[in-house]
Amino acid sequence: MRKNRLRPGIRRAAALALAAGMTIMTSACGLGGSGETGAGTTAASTITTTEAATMAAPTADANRKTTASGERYDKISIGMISDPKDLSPISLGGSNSQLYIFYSIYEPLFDYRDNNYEPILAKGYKEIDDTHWQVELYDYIYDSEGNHITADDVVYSFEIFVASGRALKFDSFESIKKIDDYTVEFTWTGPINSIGALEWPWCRTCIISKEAFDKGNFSDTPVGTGPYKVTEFVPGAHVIMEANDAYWQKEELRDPEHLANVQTVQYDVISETSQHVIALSTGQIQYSEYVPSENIRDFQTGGKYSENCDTYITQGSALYVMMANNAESAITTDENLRKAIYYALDNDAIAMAAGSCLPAHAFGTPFFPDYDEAWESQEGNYMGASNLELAKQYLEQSGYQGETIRLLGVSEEVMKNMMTMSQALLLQAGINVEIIAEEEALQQTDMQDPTKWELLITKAGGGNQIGEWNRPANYNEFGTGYNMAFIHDEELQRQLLLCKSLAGHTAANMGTMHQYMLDNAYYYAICAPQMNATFHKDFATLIYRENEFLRPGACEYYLD
Amino acid sequence: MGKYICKRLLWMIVIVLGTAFIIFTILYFTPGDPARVIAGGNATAADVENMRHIMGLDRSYWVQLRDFLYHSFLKLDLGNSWVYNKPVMAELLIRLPRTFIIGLSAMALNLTAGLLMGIFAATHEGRWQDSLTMAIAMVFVSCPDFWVALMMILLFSAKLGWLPAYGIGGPQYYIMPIICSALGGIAVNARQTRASMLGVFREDYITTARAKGQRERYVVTKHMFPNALMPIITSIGSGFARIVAGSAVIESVFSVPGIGLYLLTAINSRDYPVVRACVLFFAIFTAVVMLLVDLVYAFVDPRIKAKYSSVRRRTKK
Repeated sequence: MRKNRLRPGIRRAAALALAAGMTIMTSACGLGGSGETGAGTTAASTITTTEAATMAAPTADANRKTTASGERYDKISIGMISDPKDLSPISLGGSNSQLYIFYSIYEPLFDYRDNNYEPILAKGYKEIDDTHWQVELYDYIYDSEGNHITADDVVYSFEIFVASGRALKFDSFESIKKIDDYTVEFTWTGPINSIGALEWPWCRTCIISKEAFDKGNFSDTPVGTGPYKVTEFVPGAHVIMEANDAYWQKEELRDPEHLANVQTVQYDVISETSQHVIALSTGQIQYSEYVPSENIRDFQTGGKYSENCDTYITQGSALYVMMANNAESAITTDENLRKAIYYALDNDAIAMAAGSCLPAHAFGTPFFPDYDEAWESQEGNYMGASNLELAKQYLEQSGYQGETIRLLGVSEEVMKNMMTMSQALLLQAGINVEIIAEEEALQQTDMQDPTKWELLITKAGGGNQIGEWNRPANYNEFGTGYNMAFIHDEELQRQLLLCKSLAGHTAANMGTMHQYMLDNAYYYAICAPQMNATFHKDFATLIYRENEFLRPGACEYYLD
Repeated sequence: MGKYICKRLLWMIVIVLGTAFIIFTILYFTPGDPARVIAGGNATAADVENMRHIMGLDRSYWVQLRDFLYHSFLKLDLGNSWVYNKPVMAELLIRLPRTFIIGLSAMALNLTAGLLMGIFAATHEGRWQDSLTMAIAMVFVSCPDFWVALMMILLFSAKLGWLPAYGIGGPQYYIMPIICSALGGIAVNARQTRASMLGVFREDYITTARAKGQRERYVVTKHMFPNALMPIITSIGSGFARIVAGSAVIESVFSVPGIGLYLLTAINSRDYPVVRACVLFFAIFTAVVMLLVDLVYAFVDPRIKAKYSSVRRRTKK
């Protein structure tokens, strides 16, 4: 065998070239993240606040043939970021992937829209007295396998849901009983006088047939009364639904959100956000809410994928909130320090860093009808605009001696970016911050430990504005006597309960409560995540349940 | 030989029991509350306590450990997933074929390409063929598999439209995952093969074979390769275990619902029954692979087989 020795100089040059090549290739790493939230990459959105706030939902072109003519669209594929895992009605949790599917295959007694209970399986309800309400069902409800739904099934649905341990927000619910074949009576724990008190019992409890549940396997092959039925579920891969041609409701009474305008709906689990871009561009899916913010432009007018796709950007209902620890041992019990922190922050900068977020200007989101723009100009509103000078003044008045303040948040891309920007802004004011980014399970435990943080960033949400305030502000929420910020304030609690009550839910009361929270510097709203919907141009309209969850069957589609 | 196998199987039981105890203990003391995660962000303290009771997490460590060991090893029941609400064993059996398709195919590719590249490089030692082959191997082993996966998706799915970007279905869905899984192993096997072959290259019996006028191909395949096989077998065995146990990244990028993705989802959602079951599965799988590697040693190298047999003869005396 011949030996061919390369000259040392050439060998060295080859080694250097190889090393340079390695460096170039590995610098392309980090092309996309994935996770339950589908946060994607770190680049900020290039969509301006104005563009996002004024982007209108698509409307059907009157000159084109659509599914409003009565004909169905053939098939739609939708990308999900996570696996729904379990399709049983008693597994209902907070997973968006589950909710998308659940709202197509199952139906509750009522739908919750604009703080009202819209009858679906129920014809309506009657208040017998303060704590006993009766609900009458339609007498011709059948599920997709032909099982007749009666009062017995409604009672059963509630019983198994409560027994599963997943019946959250059922504080008002005491019991349910059958009155006759199509009437049930609810017993409440007290008079129902707060907004959205019945959202979970009435609008999130899926009604199913006892007979079907006992003999079937609802985790994989659910049977519901909804406009769709599941024909195939491969956990971790996809869910395929077909239109329920035997849908029980008469056409003239059918709810416009419970239609089946498309024959087949397929939900594909795509855990990598960059894959959503490819799947949309190649036509493997026709709708996704998980396209990374820096790729959204590619699907808008003039973008490389704009021929077949478009985007609809709207504000979501969630809100990123920062709060200070008010436990006795924490240095942030000092109101001046809290105000110094809040005035030093700049929501425009943090929202830009986070990407796909709209900066907040008050403690709330315009998404909700009970949000009031007047809050943005209330006295002492530190969320209106950053004020470094005022921040330094408050800092001087506080007892702050340069201690390190721990900022706790979840280790997902968007939140880490927010924390990093917040840290930089606070440093400008002379406040030292240490970021503690933890995975969600650990963060949920540590946020309830007052020794683990001084500042917390969390995501709030709810069915309305007061519902969004409830979780951080209500001191009964965690069973400790303190709310999420370790505050036990009787006045705050009184105002919260007043605003939650049906009679007290007024603009004036909400404004008073907002002012109270500002005066005490209890909370700081940072930004609201946008919903970036990227869709194929065959969608003529986009219809959402609660303005968040796409109802593919209710959307209109172009047929030409 | 049979006694050796029995002894190894007994040791495997000890290893699996030890693994079960360790993983249970680690998960028990891991910070974070699975009941809170399962109950969801809207759950109140009472909801979480209720969920904890339903999940059996309010029992003591020893009671939970006893139940886990009893059900897992005596009743062969790995429990129900807290998140999927289905028997873990059933779900593992559904997902196993997908992981194995990728693992076994990647291993076959690994073996074929790695051995051929290694032999090619060894037989052209010092020449440009050797340098080129080793440079290719270095590129393969240097590139992170998730990056390779994304680049392949961009090229073959987005640009060319030849292959689907994600999901499961026909054979075309597995091509990219298999190639991505195999690349690192090809490089390792190529380098290992080259080194092993060069180790026997100058042995006396090789010189003798050439002196006898044997054709070079015969010398390589009949004399050099079998004697260079031992370290290669070790590398292949551990590589196979690594491909299967490390499948989470590839399965996540390509959205293939295999065991790796199952484990990853379970870790994120604190689904302890699934985590325990997957770790036990990987422990058993790795132990079985190592046992098979040892048996293959005996098959390939008669000296090792003789050693196992001579141990039995010595103990009989």
